[in-house]
Amino acid sequence: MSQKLVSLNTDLSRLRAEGLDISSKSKYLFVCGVPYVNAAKEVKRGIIASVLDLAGEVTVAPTSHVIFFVGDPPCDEHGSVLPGVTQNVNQSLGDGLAPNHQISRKPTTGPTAGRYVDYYEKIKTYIAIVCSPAQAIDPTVTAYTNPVVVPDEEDDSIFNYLDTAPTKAGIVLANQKLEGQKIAIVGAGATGSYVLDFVAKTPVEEIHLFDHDLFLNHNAFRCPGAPSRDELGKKHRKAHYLASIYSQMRKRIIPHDFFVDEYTIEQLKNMNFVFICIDKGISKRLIIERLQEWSIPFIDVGMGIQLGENNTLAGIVTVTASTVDKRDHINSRIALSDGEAPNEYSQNVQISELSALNAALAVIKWKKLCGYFDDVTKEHYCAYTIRSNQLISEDVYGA
Amino acid sequence: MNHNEFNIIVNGRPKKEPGPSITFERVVALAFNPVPPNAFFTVTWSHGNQGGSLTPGKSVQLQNGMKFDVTETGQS
Repeated sequence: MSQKLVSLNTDLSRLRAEGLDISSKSKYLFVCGVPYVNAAKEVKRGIIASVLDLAGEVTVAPTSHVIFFVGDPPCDEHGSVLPGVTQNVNQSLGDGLAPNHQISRKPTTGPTAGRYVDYYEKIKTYIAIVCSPAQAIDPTVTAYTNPVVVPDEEDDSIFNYLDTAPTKAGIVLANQKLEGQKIAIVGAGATGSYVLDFVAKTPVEEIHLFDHDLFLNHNAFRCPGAPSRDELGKKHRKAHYLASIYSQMRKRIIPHDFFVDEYTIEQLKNMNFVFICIDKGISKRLIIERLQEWSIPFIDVGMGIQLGENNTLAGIVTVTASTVDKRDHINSRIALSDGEAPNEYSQNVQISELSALNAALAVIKWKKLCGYFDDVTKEHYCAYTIRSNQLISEDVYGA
Repeated sequence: MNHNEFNIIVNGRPKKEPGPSITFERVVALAFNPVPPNAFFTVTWSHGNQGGSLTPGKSVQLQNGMKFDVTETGQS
């Protein structure tokens, strides 16, 4: 059943959101895994089928009040066939969907006596009729099985399973602004891995992950998730390790297990947006120069944490955005050279919640640049100072 | 205390500064002695609900109780 059909119709999306295993095929709506009782007073599972009346892609009020039930004839908890059941009508529902029986029950009172107003009301009513005897025998059985919902071919989905949270039409339209983009994440360290975590859950077309390093002990404490000791022992490259995890959820995460340098920089040329999540100023200079030359917008993330008085930590998390319209602030905001002498102050402290915050601020800004989130300040530089719990927005353009 | 001096806090440590304003470079020097060569610093300040950042060559008017933070922000 296409997600589009479900999202367009409130009755179907409510049935799915409540956890029923609904599907549709050749003008029928099916509900699988429906508990019932057979004549031997055994609790079994069957399938409810109803003709699905559509006007285009929109459901109309069911023209028929009957359903078909695939399985044994459904009975009450004492093994007597339920009222309204006509056995072995064997309606042609499709392969393997026999024997089946017709059940005919309809509302007899109320403003819509004699008919069901929509498929939500119809299906919910029959679920209650068929399942109640089963629940009298075993109170733990339920038709609300919350199945994993996978996209069908018609969905052409970037995801391996669907987000079934009820969505308002406006949110669907906002999400569409992210579709089709090719995103690069340069550096799959602490912040880069959280950027991946957030971007992977959006409908962008491709995510390219660049990192040459291995995934080792210290990385496990700075990335989303919790790898096992065995997994850590395999010494994967970060790009492959993270791509394999997030590819469980979605398609087109492409790992590149090398650094972006003068030999590989061309890999960024076809990107729509780049997150720069590396600490090497020399590499940044090259990347930034080329992205600006190619008019590709990007965000650079930065973090500095230091040990202060009484063994407390403090510091600043920064997000710098560059677009075709606003990039004259880059040189004063991003370190473009590496310190030559070993820096006695450099503690290289990284803490996962700060990396996650840094990544979240970066992804929020990217979504603002895409028109997904509203943006009135239009800052291109943002800094969060831990000690004073202050968020500043500067390098404003277009406000 | 000299009435022209301002009490400020830099990276959690109290400092006195003559004012009336302070530069990015001076804030860095108050935080790091000696200043490491070739390092890239981020400087932010806050005072009540006001706040902002400083970049090289820029300065801000001092107020008593102003708080400054200075870090190297290259890590990712």
